[in-house]
Amino acid sequence: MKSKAMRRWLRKLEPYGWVAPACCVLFVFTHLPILLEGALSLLAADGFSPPRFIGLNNYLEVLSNQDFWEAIVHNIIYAITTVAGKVALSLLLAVLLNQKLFGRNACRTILFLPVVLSFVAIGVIWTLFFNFDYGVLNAILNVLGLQSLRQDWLGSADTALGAVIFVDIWKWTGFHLVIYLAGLQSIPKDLYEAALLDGASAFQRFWRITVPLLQPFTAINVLLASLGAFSVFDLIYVMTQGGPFKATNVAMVEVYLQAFQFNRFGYAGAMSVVLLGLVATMSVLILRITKAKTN
Amino acid sequence: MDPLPSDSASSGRSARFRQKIAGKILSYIILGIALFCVAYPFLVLLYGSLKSEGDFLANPLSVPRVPHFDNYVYAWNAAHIPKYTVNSAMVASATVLLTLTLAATASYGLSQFRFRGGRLIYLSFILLLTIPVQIYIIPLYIIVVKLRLADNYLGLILPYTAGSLPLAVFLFRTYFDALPTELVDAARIDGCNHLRAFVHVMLPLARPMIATVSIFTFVGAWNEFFLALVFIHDPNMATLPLGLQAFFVNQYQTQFPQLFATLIVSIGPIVVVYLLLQRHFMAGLTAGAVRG
Repeated sequence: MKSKAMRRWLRKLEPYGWVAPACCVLFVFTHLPILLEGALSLLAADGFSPPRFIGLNNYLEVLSNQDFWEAIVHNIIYAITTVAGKVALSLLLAVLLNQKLFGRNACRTILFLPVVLSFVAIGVIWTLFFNFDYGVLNAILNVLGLQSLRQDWLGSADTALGAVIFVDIWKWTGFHLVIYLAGLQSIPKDLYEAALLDGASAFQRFWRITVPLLQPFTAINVLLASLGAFSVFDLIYVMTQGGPFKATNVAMVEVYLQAFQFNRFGYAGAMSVVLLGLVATMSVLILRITKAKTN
Repeated sequence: MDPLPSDSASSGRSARFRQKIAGKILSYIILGIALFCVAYPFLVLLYGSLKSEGDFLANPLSVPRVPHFDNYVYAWNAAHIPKYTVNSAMVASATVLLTLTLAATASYGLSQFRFRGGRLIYLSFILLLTIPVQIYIIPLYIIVVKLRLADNYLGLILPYTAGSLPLAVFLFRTYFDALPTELVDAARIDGCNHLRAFVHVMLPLARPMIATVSIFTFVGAWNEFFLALVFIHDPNMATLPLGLQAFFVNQYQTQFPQLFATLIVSIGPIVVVYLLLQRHFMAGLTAGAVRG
């Protein structure tokens, strides 16, 4: 026989039973590693010999590591160009697709297709297309009589980063487009009717009604695209491995090399902490700026 | 933006009508260019996969002279794509099942009970929405190795589940909170315990959320590359992205038509599923952004 007190105690514990399984998995595989990263960054650890406490030495080394800061600069370039490209293109296409057009659904379906494919598949496809000898891109330039523009797109330090950025924009524009379409559907139609009666031009209607009312959707698009740009790894690893001559080296490629090629876990951990700081600052800034604008 | 015809003057109306037609034509042109940019690579891939090597080198861009299916035989046998596909299907399905179970139960708990620490737990879930897994990969690797889960699918399934949980819990919880409380209360008065109320009342109602969470979890796990690269070293256990990347590195610069066929076989399943469920895919993959 269960006593009354015991039953009350069990009832008090019941909610914890519901959330415990999810909490356990999340704690072990997300919270714990994030917490451990700070400690790890203070150690000299290679995964084999016992770790040694070395204070801030890893951070000092990160500070003076030119490759890492050049990689961060690549991330910043990557973020600015992909965010601008994705937001501008997806906004334009969303506004066009929001009209009554023939084949509008089919169009949306095709534009969204790259979103469901992996960065690996897309990276391989475009690496083949960018190939100097057999690539489609140079073949098209040949057909157009523009032989002089033919390039070793991924093999030359001048064009490699741009080529990877292009592929990233190509993959994700459909995603941001669908978000903008959801936003456009939330704008009341009578606002446009009123503006039309007042004689506003199409451009004015776009600039004065569409853009401000899409503000929250722009915020989320900018945030997601920037987060992707600062953690980009797959596409670079598949297409260029950070080369040629580190022209496409980004922070995560540097972290991966230090951790899993050279077994410098503590050092790579310090880089990750710096990167985490950057990403967190950036997220807060983007949310602040957009919030200030909406108010 | 649907400009309405104005009723003021007939000359104004015809000018506006002409403007509208011009706008439509411009829209079709711009959308046509965008469509071409996205669809043409897939057409080149498809054409190329059906060419013999000589045909490809002679005309890389146009349709094949004679369709040539040997490349597919090669992709099926030599590239091990079917094996990788099965591996990915297992990992992704297990991740979906585990994510749905954990997210739905946790959300039920957070939504139905008020308890000490409940808010804190929920907040600790939500905070993780903006932290990419790449950033804590090294300590995660150490944990996975210590738990002896490297070269073990659980070493992928558990971190993938942890990665999907914050968004899944957010979506389920918001959904449960919006349902009328009388539903569960009525079931409880009829003598159901919480487990029965959850299974028989809440879960059937949550079907749209189950679809949404399944889709983004499945696609995420199906396409994931980074964790697989770090945790899985046995080539027989490679998931599709990992196997494709390894195959590509070893084959690079050789026979393009064979590589094209390999790519078609490896993206085939997800493309077919996407085309069948396109609306659900768009809703599922953008759910976090649109509702967040």
